[in-house]
Amino acid sequence: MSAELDTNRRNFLKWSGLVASSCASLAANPINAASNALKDEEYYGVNGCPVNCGSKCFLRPHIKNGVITHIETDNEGDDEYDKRQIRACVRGRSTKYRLYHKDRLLYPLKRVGKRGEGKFKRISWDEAFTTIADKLKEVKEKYGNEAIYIAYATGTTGGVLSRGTSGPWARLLGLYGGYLRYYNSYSTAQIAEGFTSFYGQNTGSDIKNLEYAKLGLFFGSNPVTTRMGGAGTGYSYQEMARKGGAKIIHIDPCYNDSMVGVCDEWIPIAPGTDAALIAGMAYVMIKENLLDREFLDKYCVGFSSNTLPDGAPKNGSYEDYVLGNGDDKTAKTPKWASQITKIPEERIIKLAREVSAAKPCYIEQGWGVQRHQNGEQSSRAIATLACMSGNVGILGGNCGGNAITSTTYMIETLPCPNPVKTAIPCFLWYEGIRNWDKMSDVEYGVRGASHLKAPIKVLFNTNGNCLTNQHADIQSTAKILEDDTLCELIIDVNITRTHSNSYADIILPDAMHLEQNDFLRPNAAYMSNRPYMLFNKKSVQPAGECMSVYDMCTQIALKLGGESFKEEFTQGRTQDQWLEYLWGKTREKLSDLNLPDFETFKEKGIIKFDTVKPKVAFKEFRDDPQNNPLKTPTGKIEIFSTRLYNMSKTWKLLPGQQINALPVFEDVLMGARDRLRKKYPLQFYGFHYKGRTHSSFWESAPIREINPQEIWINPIDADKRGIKTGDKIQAYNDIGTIEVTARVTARVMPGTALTYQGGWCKFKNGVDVGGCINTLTSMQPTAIAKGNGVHSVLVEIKKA
Amino acid sequence: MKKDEQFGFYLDLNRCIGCRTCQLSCKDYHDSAIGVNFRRVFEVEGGSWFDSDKTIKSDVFAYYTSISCNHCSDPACTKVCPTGAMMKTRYGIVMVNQQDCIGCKSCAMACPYGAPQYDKKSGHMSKCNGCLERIDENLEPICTASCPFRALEFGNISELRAKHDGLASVAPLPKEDVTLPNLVINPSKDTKFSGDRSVRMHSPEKYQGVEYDIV
Repeated sequence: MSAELDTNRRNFLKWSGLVASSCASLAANPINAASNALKDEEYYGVNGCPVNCGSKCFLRPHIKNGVITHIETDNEGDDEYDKRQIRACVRGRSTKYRLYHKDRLLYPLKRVGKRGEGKFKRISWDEAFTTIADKLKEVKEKYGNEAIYIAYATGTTGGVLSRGTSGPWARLLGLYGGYLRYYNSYSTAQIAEGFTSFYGQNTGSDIKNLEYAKLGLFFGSNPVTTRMGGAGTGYSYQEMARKGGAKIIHIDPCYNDSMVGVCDEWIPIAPGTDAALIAGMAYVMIKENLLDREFLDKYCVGFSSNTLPDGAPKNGSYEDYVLGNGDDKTAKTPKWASQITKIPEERIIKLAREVSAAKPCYIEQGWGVQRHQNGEQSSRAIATLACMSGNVGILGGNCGGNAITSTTYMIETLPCPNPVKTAIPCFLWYEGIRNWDKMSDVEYGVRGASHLKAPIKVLFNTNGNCLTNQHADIQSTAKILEDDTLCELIIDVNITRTHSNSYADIILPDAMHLEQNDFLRPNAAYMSNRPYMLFNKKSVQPAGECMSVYDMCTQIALKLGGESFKEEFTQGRTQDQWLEYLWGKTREKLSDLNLPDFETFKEKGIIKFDTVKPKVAFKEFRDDPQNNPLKTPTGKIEIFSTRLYNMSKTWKLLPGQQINALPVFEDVLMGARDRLRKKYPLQFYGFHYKGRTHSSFWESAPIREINPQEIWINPIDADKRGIKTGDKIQAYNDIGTIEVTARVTARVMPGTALTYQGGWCKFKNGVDVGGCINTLTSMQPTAIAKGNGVHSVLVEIKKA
Repeated sequence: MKKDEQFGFYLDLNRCIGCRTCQLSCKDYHDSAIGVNFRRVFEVEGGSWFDSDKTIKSDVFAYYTSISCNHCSDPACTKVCPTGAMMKTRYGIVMVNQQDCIGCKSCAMACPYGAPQYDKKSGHMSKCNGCLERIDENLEPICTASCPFRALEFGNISELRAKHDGLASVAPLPKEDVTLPNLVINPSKDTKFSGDRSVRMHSPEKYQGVEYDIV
């Protein structure tokens, strides 16, 4: 690994990939190519990428004699920033390899053998529909509709008629009497609850604001990877960093790709300790009189004792906490913060001064910060910094939230009424299976009712991999799923076999987005300041017997309630007729946009709008707080949260957990200062990978070739363990073991190691050789959101 | 571009985030097999850690070089080709005539950029041809048109050099006087010159095979 390549040409060849692979050719292998032909000619189709990455990009499949030869992207216009092309990234460009994958599911499958063994046999669609309908009838009769559940899933989240979760499945089961709801997401549970307590809602400003900032301060944020499409937040971040010339500082345990080329300084921080850094900065800002006191007094409650709400404890303000007047009697000095965060004391002091001096300062957090066991606290702490420095609600500033789209022109979606009002946190579905009778509002976060009335007996996993792979503690989760006396029927819809659908009883083969017509939901995309709409036009016939979920649901409706229920579900419309109907409603609702007619949109596939003014979160509140109060109990920014304070008195928590009204730093399970670190010294978490969207796209060999699953380990930690790049290594703790290729890199801080989240788990003798982070993560939900705090992980690493 | 002009690439290291969209879109368009990569993205990192046990400081940096064939003005590959299969053609593009190629890999050994790629299936060398059939039709090469971060451009090399300040001698690439590559690179503040031994290079595809039985 040296750069002396100009003098040693043979070395260069060694890493050129030329001599690397011993694999057979994996070129496209079309399934039933001839019979899939829609027409015998050569042309470009129009399509969009519906997976859950945060971008939604334009695909132009090149079609020749009914076969997609390759995929191109938006090439319209001169591509100036304000007229930027909606270019797809590596993931969307690899769609051909998914479509023609040799392991595409082609027929409905039924489990044979024990659940989880992964043995299936081909059945007819009729048998699949009959099995599902019969069980639904039985369970509805015996347990009621709350025993039916659609699990959180996002593999086709950008679709409307092709969407899992809130698409046709939700409509079907809703009309059938309803199903148990979920709230929050695996992406944002902690920040959603943290920000709702703090600001009344979870939002942020458009990244376009960076253009007007003097300083951009990013916590665990990597927009160029998470929103990698060429028209959205990632591209806009780079452009605005260059254009405005703001100083860019990233606070992150690793040197992420958003730092490449535009970052002025990387400040490494121990994972999960952001709230300690903020408290240390607050100490400096208080002592050096750098606070925006006017903002804190006018717009916030609970920073100082003079704005504490009625009923709050004495010495219960954030200032009291920082100065050591609170219960812990510990001043949060920069030295205190330094010991926890590993950031040098002088750097914390300087950062506090820099943020105070730079007006406006764009303060943003990615969602990695909040995906810890103390994520609700950390997300609020970063928001508190935005308040202390007065950067909320002004152009060029940000409230500390994740960047959003300024304006979204929404396409109307399928109506999905659900008479059942009871909801569980999306992460806790497994408790709904095994501990349903203990699930209450104050212990498990049940909403809409004080308790669950029934166990989950029928579970739909629609276009997702969150049952095992993207959940937590995969092996323990699998044990719950394996018991078919608990959840009695698991239906999985997907385009390929996954670890999750190894636990299904029935697998339904879905048509891909290139095999059916649909809209792409604009509200599933992060577009920055330029809205657009995309249409997925069917490019090829579905592979094998694959079917759209709308058609599946139509057939199940027929089995459930005959022609009349089918009619109620379809309203007499086919999928294409629904699209035309929904487009008509969209045109009515957005009449001032002069949207084209349905056929024109379908042929063109893309509608781009003029750029809009960048959204500034809470600008209305800042301009006129009396007439635009926040949706918090006091209508103000609640640094001391009355909602959380009340919860802290009534909620039943797990040992070691607490709910604090203030955004304090908390030590947590498998956190930076857990005593378990003596046994497992390395902090470890999974971050988003360029080659995948969560676990989507990983079946494609050309994606895996250039994005191998690796563990990042710092040279200091690697040397201690005799590890070199390319070695097979194991990361392990009491929960599990993964075995992956080592990548020794200075891009991760000492004491922390990383892997890319979303690798497909594959167990060999109890060791996950696929390298899925969730083989190592804890099922313990967080205190407030009951979310997946899965970035709080400790491991030891050794050579395999 | 006119057929008698010299084709070249431009790469901006301030923009390239190593997403490998260029590499994948090239593979998709040319239908290249696993192990055959006309465009390759190398990651460079440098800097050190100062770990005092209590706190941690670093001056670590990283950048990516997305490199295809540079259609050199003094190509090493054509000189060593025993059959004349490797040749300069229209737009100054270096291409391999597969009918004449005997798959001896001499070009691959000679090229300091690793551009010629041996295709096991055909038994011949293969490489970037600048998407010349697209250039003929006034279209962009697949790779440059794909870049989500607008880090890549193509065109008449004289025009690219006039439009952009830059050089081709950046680590981990060889010095440009070796083959006179038609490549302009806009360095970032972290970019090191060719031959700098303080940086480390990472190329993930070198150590991992790709299997199908991943479930």
